[in-house]
Amino acid sequence: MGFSVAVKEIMLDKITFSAGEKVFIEGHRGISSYSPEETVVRITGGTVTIRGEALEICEMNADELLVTGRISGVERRKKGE
Amino acid sequence: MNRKEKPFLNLLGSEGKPGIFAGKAEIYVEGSPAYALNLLTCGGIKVRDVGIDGDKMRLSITEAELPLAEKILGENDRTYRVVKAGGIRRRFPEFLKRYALIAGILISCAFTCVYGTLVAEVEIRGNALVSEEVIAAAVSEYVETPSLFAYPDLESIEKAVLRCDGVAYAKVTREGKRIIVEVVEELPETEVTDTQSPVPLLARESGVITRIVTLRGSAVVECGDSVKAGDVMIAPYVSAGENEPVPVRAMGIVEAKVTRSEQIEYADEEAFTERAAADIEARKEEFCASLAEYEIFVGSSFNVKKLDKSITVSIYYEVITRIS
Repeated sequence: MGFSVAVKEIMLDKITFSAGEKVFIEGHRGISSYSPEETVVRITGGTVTIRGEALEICEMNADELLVTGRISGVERRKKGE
Repeated sequence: MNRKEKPFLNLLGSEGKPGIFAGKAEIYVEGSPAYALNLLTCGGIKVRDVGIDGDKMRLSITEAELPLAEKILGENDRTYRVVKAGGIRRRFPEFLKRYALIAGILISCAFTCVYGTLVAEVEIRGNALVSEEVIAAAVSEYVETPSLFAYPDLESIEKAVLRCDGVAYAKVTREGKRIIVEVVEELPETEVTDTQSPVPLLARESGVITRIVTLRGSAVVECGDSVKAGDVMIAPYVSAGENEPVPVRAMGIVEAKVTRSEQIEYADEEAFTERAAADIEARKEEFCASLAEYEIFVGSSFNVKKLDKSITVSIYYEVITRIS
């Protein structure tokens, strides 16, 4: 899998991804945008962009988020970048 | 925002489908998906299976959270449509997939239980003298075949079979769908002949003996002797050398030439006067035919007596017959 950014720990947030099929984010701050091709999630101090195909938010609550689909990349951006 | 310590695998593993009776509601929301999702999740609602269906966003929540979700979406002017997921139309294929095997097993078990109560036939063993119909009739008082849900009282059937004439013992068992009746029949009564009491063999009729066979006892007459009815023909003892005679019940076969007579009266004179001779001949042939019970027809004579209104024919004949 050719991830553009391999994000393990971002401050208090925790992002875990596995086998290019799932991305699990704890401590998110909401969703900026959602489409089956690209999902942008706000985290503390920036955003995480998940790209791929047939992206679905499998489960989501105020704190946790699980995105599934054929994930081709996860990109983290800090504020101001 | 409060961070809740929740096991990672809980959420990852929660993508499995809920049980068929778990309340689940599906909502279609128009407008910005991200905004609606943030509204719902910030309101404390856990959303699942979020996807895009055309220009609408589709998501699932629990039915318990549906009122709150509707309130949140309504207050924020979101256009939405609730699709109940608990309907039989949606659940039936899932039910078939998941529970068809269980249903099949349950149906098989039920069929096996019902089949176990079937009584299809009655098998009767050990009878030779008592007919099967008699025993089957006794059994049918308690169980008809074939019948389902039959739990016949085997002990009562045994008693009913024992009441049949000629049955000494009965045992009734059930093997699967068969009722097996095993019987032991009473032995037929055997005639016990007293051979020790000294009883002589007497002549039943008068005649001249033509043949005598002594089976037990001592003959006191021989062929050519004349005997009268009641005469002793075989004495009730057996001599054994110089010892005392041994008393026995006499037995044997004695045949003798016996004379018999018969008178036949023909009432219609006109009809038989002219034909008397022919009738007598016919009668003779008739006698010959009817004397089949006698071994030998010896001879006969006829005496025709003509009366006013009838003809009397006297017939005399001799037969060799058994007089013992």
